[in-house]
Amino acid sequence: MTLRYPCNTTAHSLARRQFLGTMAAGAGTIVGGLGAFANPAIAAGLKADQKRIVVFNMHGGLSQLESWDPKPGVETGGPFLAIPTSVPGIQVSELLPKTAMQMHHLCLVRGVNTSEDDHGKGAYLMLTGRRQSPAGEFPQLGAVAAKTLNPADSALPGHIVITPGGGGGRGNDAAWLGPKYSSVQLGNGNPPPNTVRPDSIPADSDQARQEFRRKVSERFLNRRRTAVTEAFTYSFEQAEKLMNQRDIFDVTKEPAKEIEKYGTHDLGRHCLLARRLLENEVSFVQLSHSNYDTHNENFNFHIEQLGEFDSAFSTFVADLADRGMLESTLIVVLSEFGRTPNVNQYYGRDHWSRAWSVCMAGCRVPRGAAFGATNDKGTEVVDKQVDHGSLFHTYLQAVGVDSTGNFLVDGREMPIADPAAKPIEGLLT
Amino acid sequence: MNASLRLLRRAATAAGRPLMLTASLLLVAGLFCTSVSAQEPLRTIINRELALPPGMTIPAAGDAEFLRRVSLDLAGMPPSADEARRFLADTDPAKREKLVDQLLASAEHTRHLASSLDVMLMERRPNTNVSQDDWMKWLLHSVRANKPWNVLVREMLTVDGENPETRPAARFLLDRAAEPNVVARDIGRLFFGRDMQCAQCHDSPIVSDFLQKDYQGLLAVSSATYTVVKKIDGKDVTVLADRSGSDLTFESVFSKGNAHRTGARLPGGTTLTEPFLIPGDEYIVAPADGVRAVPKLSRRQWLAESATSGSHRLFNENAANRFWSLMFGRGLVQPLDMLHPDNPAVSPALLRQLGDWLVATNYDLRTFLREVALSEPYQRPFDLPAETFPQLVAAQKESEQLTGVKVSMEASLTATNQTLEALETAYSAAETSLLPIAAERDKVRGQAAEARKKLDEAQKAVNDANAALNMKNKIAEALAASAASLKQVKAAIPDDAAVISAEQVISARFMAVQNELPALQQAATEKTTALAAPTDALKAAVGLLEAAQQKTNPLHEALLAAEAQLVNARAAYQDAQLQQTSLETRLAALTRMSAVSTIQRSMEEIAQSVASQKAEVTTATQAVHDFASTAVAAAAELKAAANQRDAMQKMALQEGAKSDLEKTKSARLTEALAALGRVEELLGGDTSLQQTGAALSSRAEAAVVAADTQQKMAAAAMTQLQQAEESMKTALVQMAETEAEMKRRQEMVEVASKSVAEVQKRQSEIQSELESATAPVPGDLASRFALSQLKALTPEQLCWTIFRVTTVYDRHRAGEIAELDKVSPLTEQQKQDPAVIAARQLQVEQQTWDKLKGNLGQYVAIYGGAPGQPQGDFYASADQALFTANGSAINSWVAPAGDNATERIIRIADNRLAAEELYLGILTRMPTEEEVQEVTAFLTQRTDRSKAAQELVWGLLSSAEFRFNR
Repeated sequence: MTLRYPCNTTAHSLARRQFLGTMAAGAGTIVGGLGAFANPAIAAGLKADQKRIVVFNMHGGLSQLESWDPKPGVETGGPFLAIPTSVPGIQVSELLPKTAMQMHHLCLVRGVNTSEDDHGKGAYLMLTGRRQSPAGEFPQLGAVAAKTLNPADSALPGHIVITPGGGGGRGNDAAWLGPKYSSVQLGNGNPPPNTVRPDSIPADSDQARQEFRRKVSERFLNRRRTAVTEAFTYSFEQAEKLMNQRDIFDVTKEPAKEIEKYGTHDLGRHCLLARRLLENEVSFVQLSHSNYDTHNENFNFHIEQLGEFDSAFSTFVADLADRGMLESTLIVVLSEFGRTPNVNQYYGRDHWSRAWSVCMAGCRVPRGAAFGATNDKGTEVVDKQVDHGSLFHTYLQAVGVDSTGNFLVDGREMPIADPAAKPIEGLLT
Repeated sequence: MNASLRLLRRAATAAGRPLMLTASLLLVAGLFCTSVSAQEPLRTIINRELALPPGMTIPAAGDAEFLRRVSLDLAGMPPSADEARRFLADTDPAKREKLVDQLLASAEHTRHLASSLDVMLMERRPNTNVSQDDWMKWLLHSVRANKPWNVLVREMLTVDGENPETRPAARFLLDRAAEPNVVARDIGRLFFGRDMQCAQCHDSPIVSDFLQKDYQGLLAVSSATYTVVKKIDGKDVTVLADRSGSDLTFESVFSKGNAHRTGARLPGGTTLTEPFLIPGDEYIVAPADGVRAVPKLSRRQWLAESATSGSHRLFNENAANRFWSLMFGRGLVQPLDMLHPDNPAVSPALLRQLGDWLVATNYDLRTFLREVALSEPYQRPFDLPAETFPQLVAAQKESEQLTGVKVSMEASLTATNQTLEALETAYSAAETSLLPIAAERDKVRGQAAEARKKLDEAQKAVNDANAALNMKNKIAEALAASAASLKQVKAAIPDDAAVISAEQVISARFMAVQNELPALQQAATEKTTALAAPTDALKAAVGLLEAAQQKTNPLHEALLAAEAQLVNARAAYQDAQLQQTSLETRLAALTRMSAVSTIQRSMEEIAQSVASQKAEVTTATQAVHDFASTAVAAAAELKAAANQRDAMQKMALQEGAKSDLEKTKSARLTEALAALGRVEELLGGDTSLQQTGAALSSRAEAAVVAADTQQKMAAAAMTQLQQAEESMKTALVQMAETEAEMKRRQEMVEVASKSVAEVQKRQSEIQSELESATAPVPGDLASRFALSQLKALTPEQLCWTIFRVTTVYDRHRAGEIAELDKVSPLTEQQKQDPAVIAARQLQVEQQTWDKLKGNLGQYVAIYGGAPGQPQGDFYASADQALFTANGSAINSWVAPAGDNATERIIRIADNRLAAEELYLGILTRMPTEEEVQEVTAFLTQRTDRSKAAQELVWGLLSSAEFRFNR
């Protein structure tokens, strides 16, 4: 099934010349700019100083060779072409034609080496920035973001994970930051549970009982008030606000043309939901696209999966840029690892963590850039190697969090990110 | 017999010969004589150590408050409304004691304590090797039997999981996958009260007493245990096996290159000295695939024995602290796993005595809980009585005394610290000289192990060769026998082709085998000969090892001696430190409290000066009032004078005008007379003229007289005017004086009022100072157990409390009782047997619990901490409030059903009685008058009584008062 295609085609050599040109100017150079695309009218509606993070978790292990770091013409590079993008000199796989047109917003990190080929452990280290340790759990990026970025008065949860299917609930992903920062999981994009008043309780009845509850509580709290009782009181106010804001979780409230633009498939719906949540001050949203674990028929699966991803993701990026939200929103497309730069007997690719890619955009991340590189065959990183630890620092630095600081938990200082790793300067403008 | 001796005997028996074993755990607690006597009830000790400062009195909590508190703490749920009524009405002075005993004997208590232990020990980790049912069964059984805490811990730490009977206890290690770091950390936390996670890679920078060495010492124990999958009855079962342990070498990430080493060691103790065993001799059952290895000395056994023998102070105090916190919602040391001198107990002396008491009573948890429940601190009220505030002045006196003590204490702290530092240096020196020699010993030991392995291989080769030879010999013998018998057959049946052929085949085969034998024989001999070399090699290696060990021994002993001294010095230093930090904490609280009384005094002063200033305002105002009539009189006088003057002025003017007129008249007449005279002169003697002239003349004279008179009158009027003006001037002056006086008086009022305002402003400033100084007082008092704590219900308590107050629990319970009475009714004789009744109650509780436990999962998911994380931290989130408001479960439980609170309120027509039922059933107390009125108004305003009842019940269920125990 591997396909050799003629080298030296016009498109190919043009692209290479442009690529070399960019290289001469230095990888990581910013190409294009946000200004021209920003829509200040919409951006003004957002809190100017709040930053947000959205993570696309490409479940199973996205092939870097079929996406961000194509190796056309190499024996193990696969059948797909590399196509030019909106940034001269940067090419991506032809499976991402629409995303290619948004390249001027994106930054490809092509030198990722995480040395972990196990699904669970790979996902863990990419989401926590640390290798799993038997002696203790670490909070995930979303929990850290909720703690550091979510506005104190926000009723909406700061850490939301949109799961591909199943019910909602609370994730077990905040470790020592405590359940307050655990993810609220929206099963298949449905609103959080219990956000609708049951029919059996009419509005006036609810009002009467809540009023009674408040009075009873108030009398009790006048006897002793502590941080704990304040938190308890506030949880009811927050619940009420959340119910009033429930529409935020309902994408059908979007204009029909928006729904159409994003696509009616799950990922399209989830992307639109993510945008609605981010617009409403939610500090962290994670979506999943499943499943890229293509030990068999890697190429067919990637055509199918990336077709869906390409349209939804490119719409999402363009929309955020259009609304001026890229200034304050960090986008990260990650996996647990990449896929082998060789093709197995089932036309599949296996797990490969030594040289793969992550795509980022927004906030302090350079626009229209490719950072780091792998060798010709994609078997090794040859330039600007990074790992999960330094990436985790970088995500946080990109949204203005000092990742080298500590959280104070029960009087103990807990490092926000792995103290053994550092932010990647080249990925921060 | 102490732990090390027991262990020694066990190891010696196992090895079949005496061993040199000196497990010298320093008995920190043993250094201090214990003041606990078995006669003195624990509550007396608690009351004494947590007595209120002299001069301060706080009355005990009321019956209702105590009832709800102790029911939640011991049974995990509040009483029903009827039970509460009975308790409140009971006049027996010993009713609290009776209640505590009833609760402790209840099936609900067993469940509650077992479930608290489950959460404490496993922290909601998933069940991977032992099912929750099996684990809970073991815990329930343990609680019911009042199994001593040390026995419970020993069972958890020593079982291997092979015997199904004891396997549940192995869950502690098995469901942590026996991962050495997890186990070391959790043993440190849960059994010694020390979370030494930070000390994994370096001495804790925050806690001076959390040493990397302590963590590594525990790790040296936990890393000797691992899991193996063993086939038992055809099934794969994960069990625990142990390695023969070796020393761990480590270095701090802060000072790389400075190596340290440690053997097995308990926090705050000395290192276990293990017997010298040559390689290959360490095991009773050697490690192999699918085999549960058993070393001659199991570090895990040693840890369990040493920790639980009663002589390990941290173990005892941790147990006391944890069970104390089950009752009080916080430990004497808080957080529970920060038991160290920098974080002193509220009363270190009490904690020490609680630990000693546990040892003296063989860790009798039930009596411990009972005594705590009946102690004064446990029965203190939630609200700070108003009359306590003035008593806070007592705090100042105590604070002055303690400041003096503190100064003398600092000197002793410095001295103990110097001793400690000197011994630390000595220990480091001893460690430095041991390290290279021990490393050499380890190397030689490795070589000896290698030699042993080679010898084992050679021995195996000998065994194999001998086995092969034996086998061949047996074949040869069998062939020979067969050949002999065939020969006889041939003799009996000659010329039989089959027989001949068989005989030939067998003979040929025998010959062939016979020919093979010498080679095998030779191989066996050779292998046996070859045994000599590895035997010698091992002998040599063991010789070397013994030599190396000989070299190590004195250094090791020196190190241990240094360590023993160091541990003593550290304990002494820690004690000094503990006293000092404890004093500082106490002083800080006293300072805050005495600040309150200082502010309260200035509050009183300012109130006085407000009063006196106000009095001045009153006096001044009175003066203004008093002067008012004078002012009015003066004004009237002035007005009268003015009127007089005006009148006089008018008259003077009139009279003047009249006078002028008369003057004019007289002048004209004179002029006319003169003119007439000139005419007379010219005409002469005209009589008529003379007559006329005479008439005129008399007229003129009259006119002159009149004018004169008038002038006099005018002059008189003028004089009068002048007099009037004088009078007015006088009146004016008087008026001005009066006004000035009035103004002065008014100004006095203003000044006095202004200073009232100023003093009042200061008063309100002091008021808010007082408020902010007073705000932490209840918390301060509560954290020292002088007032009761606010404690959030655990997910289990919350769920079961809701079931209790909505009567879901009682209805299910009644159903189970009816079912059991039907299926297996008790005979009259059985009904008289307390054992049978108790067993039946347990069965009823278990069945009720099983029916309802599915709901608990929801509460744990929403209110509980994450698996493997500490479960004690409170947090409140929107999803909890949403679950309470909109969740289908709770809304269905508050719907009217059976005999629940909602149904009762609907039925009770009298609103006052309905309010009482509501509060008693849900919050275990009678409502206040305000609350009765509120409920009455609510029931009157809401048209649908059924809905209204549900609303009220829900309102109380979701209130802060319900969410917290106190």
